[in-house]
Parts: sequence; structure tokens; C-alpha cells
Amino acid sequence: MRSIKYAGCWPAAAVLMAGILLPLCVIAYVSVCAPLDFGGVEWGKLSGSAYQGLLFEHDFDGAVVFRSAYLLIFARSLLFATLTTLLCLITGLPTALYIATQPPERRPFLLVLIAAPFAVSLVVRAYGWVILLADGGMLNHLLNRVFPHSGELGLLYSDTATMIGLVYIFFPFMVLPLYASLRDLDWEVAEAAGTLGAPPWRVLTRVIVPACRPGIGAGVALIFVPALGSYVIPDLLGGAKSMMVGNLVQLAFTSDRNWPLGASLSVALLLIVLAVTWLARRGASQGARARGGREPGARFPGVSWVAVPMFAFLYLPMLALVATSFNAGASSLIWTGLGLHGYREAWGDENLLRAASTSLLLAGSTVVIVTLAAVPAAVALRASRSRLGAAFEEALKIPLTVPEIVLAVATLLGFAAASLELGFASVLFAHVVFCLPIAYLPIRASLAKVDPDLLDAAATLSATPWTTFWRVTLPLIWPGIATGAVLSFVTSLDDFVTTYFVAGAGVLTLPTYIYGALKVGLTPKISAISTLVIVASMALVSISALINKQRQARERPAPEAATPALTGRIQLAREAG
Amino acid sequence: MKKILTAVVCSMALTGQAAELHFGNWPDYFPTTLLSKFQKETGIKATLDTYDSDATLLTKLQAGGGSYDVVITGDYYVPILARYGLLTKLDKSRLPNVANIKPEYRHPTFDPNRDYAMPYTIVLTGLSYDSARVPGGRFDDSWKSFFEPVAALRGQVADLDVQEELYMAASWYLGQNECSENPADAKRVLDVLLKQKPYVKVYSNDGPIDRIASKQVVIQQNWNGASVRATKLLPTVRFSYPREGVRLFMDSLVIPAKAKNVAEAYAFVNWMMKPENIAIVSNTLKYDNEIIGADKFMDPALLADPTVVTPPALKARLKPYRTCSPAALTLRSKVWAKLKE
Repeated sequence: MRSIKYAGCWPAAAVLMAGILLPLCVIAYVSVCAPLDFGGVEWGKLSGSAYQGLLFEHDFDGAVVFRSAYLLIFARSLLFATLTTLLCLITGLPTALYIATQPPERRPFLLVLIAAPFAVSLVVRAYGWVILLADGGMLNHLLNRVFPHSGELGLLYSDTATMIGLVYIFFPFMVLPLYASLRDLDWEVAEAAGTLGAPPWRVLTRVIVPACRPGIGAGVALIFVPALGSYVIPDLLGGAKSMMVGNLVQLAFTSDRNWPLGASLSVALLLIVLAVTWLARRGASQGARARGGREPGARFPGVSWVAVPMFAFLYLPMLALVATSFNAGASSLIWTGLGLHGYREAWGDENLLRAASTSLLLAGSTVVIVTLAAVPAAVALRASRSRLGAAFEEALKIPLTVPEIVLAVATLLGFAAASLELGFASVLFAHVVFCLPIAYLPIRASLAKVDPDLLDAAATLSATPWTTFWRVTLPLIWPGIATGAVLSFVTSLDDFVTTYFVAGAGVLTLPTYIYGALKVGLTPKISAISTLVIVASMALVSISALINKQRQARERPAPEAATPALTGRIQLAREAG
Repeated sequence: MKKILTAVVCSMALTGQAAELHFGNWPDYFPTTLLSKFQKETGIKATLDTYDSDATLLTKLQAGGGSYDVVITGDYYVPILARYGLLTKLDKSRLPNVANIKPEYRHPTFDPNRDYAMPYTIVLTGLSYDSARVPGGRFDDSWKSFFEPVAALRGQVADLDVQEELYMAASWYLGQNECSENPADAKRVLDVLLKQKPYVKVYSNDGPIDRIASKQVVIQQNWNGASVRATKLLPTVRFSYPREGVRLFMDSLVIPAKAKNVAEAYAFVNWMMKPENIAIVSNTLKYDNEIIGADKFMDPALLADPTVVTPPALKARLKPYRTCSPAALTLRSKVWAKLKE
């Protein structure tokens, strides 16, 4: 009986076993193996040298000395992650307040505006910042117009650029949970405080902020952990000068040619992340839930001074890409006039078309597989209230907690250990693993809203479980499945880090193509391709927003924040790059 | 959606039927027209995949990513890949155009009998500089200009993000052997690199052409062909042969051990050693090649360019590949790790 009840979980469980548990075991094993001289692993030979290497090293004269450098890099990563979290909080709270105090009909639009950049590949957005920040780039031009001869800013390839990139990427993860908290706030309390003579800042510090504590906790967990494992941003914007842990892992696997060391670094990063997640959970569990109350009435003068520039901040790099795509010259950085040759070149590039079709095929297949695995799992888990079911549900979320670079490297090692060949199938498998929770969570959320009485009624009227599923459950959870499908489609389409590590020959996706092209030079052609990616992603976002709007029109009044907030929660770990 | 999927699947299935070849290379290091010429002449459909460095290629091949049929790799990596059994030992009877290799390139130090590697390009690593922005317009042909930039050029220097390139340049600047196993030598190399680090704008082996042409930097440690292409975009860019030593390396075509389309791979490698084909590479990428008779198809301006074809007076500065011991390479990795910390 029991085994039948959980039968729906098996596909998902198999994916988790093969895609998470095994690779993590392999990476743990590799971390205690002996390295070969030029990369690779001596599989049979155990050694603690990698962990020793984390803390100690042989100096040039052979003496064993304490290795301060790795600690420094871990400390820098922690510092950058903390700073990113704080800056996002400082800018995110006014922005969330601004949205919450807008008229109700404007809020969904503003929320979509905050969430939409998620849909554009991280590589593309980082490239937008490269164009803005480079010497001779847009910001520099602007500065020299206003203050002639102010020279070069030297912003790109600095820690400042890395921080700008990190805040930019993670900002929405703070706004969305904060907004969800503000929705739950009883605004009558805030209003009462105001009536009793409290100035707005006092209302803010004594009423709003304490009420937002769960949202702040969620935001901190959502930002801190993935920021810690960042790889793409410090690489593209920081100029490979001051590394973060993610870059160190990548370096160990490539030019250092020391796989066990890379594996031990990954294990260390994973342990830190788990500790932080555990602490954040303990902290975030409390928090009053007063639902409803009055519409927000209190006004906070000045929040728009933060919020409006932050909206501009979110779209600035994308606008820069669109603008440079119409440059007639050979370089994106040197404006020579209006032209379409970037688009013409993109159109004639056979590799680009191949990359685009691979990306679409990959994302399409991923969606089909994850949906087929997620729906039965969600249905089976809804029926169970056991501890096993709850544990399994937690396990399903693991791909969102493990830093992407760790999972990518672990998957690569897993394939190497099994001597499987890298190719389309290996990339597809890796995408299925990290898209599974992304498809699962919205399905689970819409299942939770299904009225149990309906299912009971169907059963009473002697419908078989199958008939009930087809005729009652499936039509009701359809919007959840659609949301999950769109989200996992976009996530798979945008993925860079995993694909970069796991792809073999012949598997070139759009983000890896853009990353490769970006390394050659900044040309209007890449801007043109990026513009097309932005347009396509925005179209997808609009479609999913429309689906949600239709659903809400049919349902009882539901908090409009639910979907963007969920989207945010789901998208977070993908941004770890 | 379904329709698009079906269309994509069908098109993939169709292309899968023709003879095919997966060719791996760095980005922007192969003329795109050449692949269609190859397909037209042989009927083999070749697709080009890129990787960002030799180190990445090694990692992929070691991890079993063996679905490349032909890859291009630097001389430095040929012995390493061969040692791990990752390369096919070439059957030269299937490569008649071996006879086209210039005699002086038939026995390179990295592969004395050419058992694994066939010639692609000859590359020199020196310095590109923007003569319009160098103080006084004069640039001393020395690695000193790069490692100890004058005050006006600090922060205007870009280094290649390639361990062996920087290590060799710094060794020669110090008058040391780049294969030295003496830890004190390695320590001195590290000191030079660390002293330079605050003045370095970026460590990157990508986009050197664009970087100097768009005036991001004034000095770029650079490959000669990239420098010529940068000069096309910004006429004031010059190439310098530092007198302490210029690295001469040969990029090669190799067939990975796990290649699937072996016959096609041989056909491609052999085809690339025809003078008229390799000349297209030289004309596009501005690097010299090792094939007899290719100069007839090469752009005369290219052959007259001292950046591409080294003038006899400067030949003594060129330093070809030398095999270093694992102990020497371990020191190198150590210096690199310490530099990047």
C-alpha cells in the first residue's frame, strides 16, 4: 500500500539520487584522492593532501607554512556576500515600501518590472555592465561630456565593478520577499502610529521593520548564500584579479590542474553554505502573521527617491546593450553611427543559429522531463502527511541550496568517474536536476490550493484515483504546471555555469556562445544577439504574467505577490553564477 | 512549441546522416569561410566548438569529454595530452601532406617525430603598445617596459591570463632559465609579477585585439597576429620584440584518442596542410605557418610585415618551446597560485 502511495515520487527520487547524491559523494571522494601531475585524479589512491592544501602549503624552499591566501579568499567572499546583502537591504526596503504604497492596480506591473530581469541570462546582463563600466564605455563618455578631461574612471575590472554586479543581480531577491511581508502587514497599526503622532521614520523603525523580519530573513538567505558562490560576476567584471571562492574552484580544475584541491574547496564552500542556511532558517521561523487589514494608507516621503533610481538601475545595462547593438562600427565601445550590421552578422553566423537551436531543444526537453517527474511527485506528496514525505520535499529543494558551481563540478566529476561521455545527454541531465525543484514548487503551490472536498466528492461518486486526477486535479493545477514549465524553460535557456562545465563537443548553447564571443571582444554583433535574447525573454515573462492574470481573474482574490515572490524564491539559486 | 521542437529534432536528425566532424578551437582562431570550403570540397560537415583555454580543453578531455574529432592546442600541452593517452598516435600514411611541412619544422621539440601534432600556426608572444599614448612616443623593446611600467602607464597594462606566458616572460626578464628547478628562481619570478600586479588593469587571455584597439590599455602582452589585427583597427598600435626573449610557439592540430569520426579527422588535418588552405588561415589571423608554398597564396603585405615574418636581425630573440621537468612546472603552478591569491 505504502509503496503504491509513493510510486509517483520515484522518477523525481531517481533524478535526485543520480543528479545530487551521487555527484556529491564523488566530489567528497575526489577531495580525499591523490592528484595527478597534470590534472585528473588517481582514483584508487587516498590522500589527505587536498585538505592539508587548504590550510598549509610548501613554500619555495620546501618548508610547510600556513596558507593565508585561501582564508583571505574565503574572507573576501564572505565580505562581498555580506556587503551585497546589506546594500540590497538598504535599497530594497524603500523600493518594497514604494511598491506597497502604490495604488493596487499599479502594483502587479511594478512587481513584474522587478522580476523580469531574472529571465535574461546572467551572462547577458553582466555584459551590459561591461559596456557601461569600461574605460571609454558609456558612463565614462557621459562623465567626460559633463566634466571634460575628467579622464578614465577605471571602474571595470575592479572590486567596485564586482560589487555593482552583485547588487544588481541580487537586488530583486530582497525586494520580492520584503514586499510579500508588507502585504501581510496590518496597515491599521501603521496608520494608528501615524495618528498618534509618530513621524514616518519612527513608523518605519518601530512598526514596519519589525513586521518585515520574516521577509528580511528570507531575503538575507536568498542573497547571502548564492552571492558567496558567485563565479561569473567576479570573472567578467572583476577582471580575474581578486577572486571569490567560485573562481578559485574553477582555477583549481583548469590552470592549476589539481582536481582534489578543487573538490576540497567545493566541499568547504558547501559546508559554509549549509551552516548559513541552517542559521538563517532558525532565525526566520518566527514572525507574526497578521493577514489582511486595511490597504496601506501611510505614505513614506522619500522612498521614491530610492525606488525610481533602482528601477532605472535594473534596466540600465539592458538599455546599454540595445543601444550598442545599433552601432555601425566594429567595436561596441566606439560609436561610429547608426547601423544594422550587428544584426546582419548575427543572422549570418551559422554557429549562433546552431547554439540557438541547441538551447531551444535543451530547454524544451528539460521542461518535458521535469514536468513528467514533478507532477506525480507533487500529487503523491500531497496525499502523504508522513515525515518521510516532508523529508523528501526538503530533499527536492537541495538543487536550489547547493551553489551552482559546486553542483556543476560535482556532476562533471560524476560523469568522469562513471566514464560517461559528455554530450547533449549529459547537459540535459544536469539541466533536469536543477530545474526539477523549479517545476515542482509552483505545482505544489497550486495543489495546496485545491479544495480537498472536491477530491472527496469525486471519490464518493466512485471515481477511480486516475479519473479524479485527470478530471479534477489536473485542470485545477494546470496554471501551476504552466508556471513551472515557463520558469524551468527560462532557467534552462539562461543557464551558463553548469553548461560550461558539463558540455562536451557539439553542445554550444546561447549563453556559452555569448560568453565565448564576449571573451573575443565587445562587438555590436554580441549586443545584437543579447538584444534578441532580451526581447525573447521579455516576451516569455509577459506570457507568464498573462497566464497568472487570467488565473487570478478566475480565482478568489489572491495576493498578487504570490507568483513573483515564488518566482524570486525559485530563481535565486540559479543566479549563483 | 511542439512544432518548433519537432522541426529542431528533425533538422538535427537530418544533419546527423552526413559525414561529420567536430572541430574544437579557441574562439576567433579559425576563419569561418574555411569550414564551408572544406565541406564543399570533401562533403564532410564540420562544426566548430570553442573552449576558452588549453587548460579547459585538458580538463574536458580528462573528464571524458572526448567527442571532439580534431582540436587545436599549443605546443606546451601536446606532451601533457600525449602522456595521459588523450591523443591519437597519427598514422602518417593517412597524411600525405606531411611532405608539405617546411624542413625546419619537421622535428619540433614538443613532438620530435610529429607522432601526435600537425602544424597550424606559428605564434610569437611579445608586447603590443599604442605608440600615440606612450610618453615621448618611444617604447623600449624590453620586458622592463611591461613589468615596471613608467608612472604614466601604470594601470594601463594588460597581461595574458596564461600561466606559462607570464612565467616565461618574467624568467627571461630576470635572465633566468624558464625551466629552472631552483625555488629561489621561482621566488624571484613571483616578486616581479607581484610588483607588477598593482599596475595591471586586467589578466585576460581573451579579447586582446579589442582591448588595445578600443584604448582600454596602452600596453598589452600580446600575440603577434592579434597585434597586426589590432593595428588594422587602431593604426598607432605597434608590436615589440622584447630583447630578453620572445616566445615562439607552434599551435597544432591533434586528434583526441576518443575521436569518433577518425577518417574525417585525418581528412581534415591533411586538408589543412595544403598551402592554399593554410594560407587562408594566415591571411585571416595574421600568423605565419609551417607549410611549403603557402607564401604564394598569402597576402604580400603580410609577408612584408616584420610583426608576422620576423626580420633576420630579430631572429635571435625568438625562444621556442623547451620541455621542463615536472618539478619546474610545479614551481610554476605555485607562483601562479600565489600571484592570483
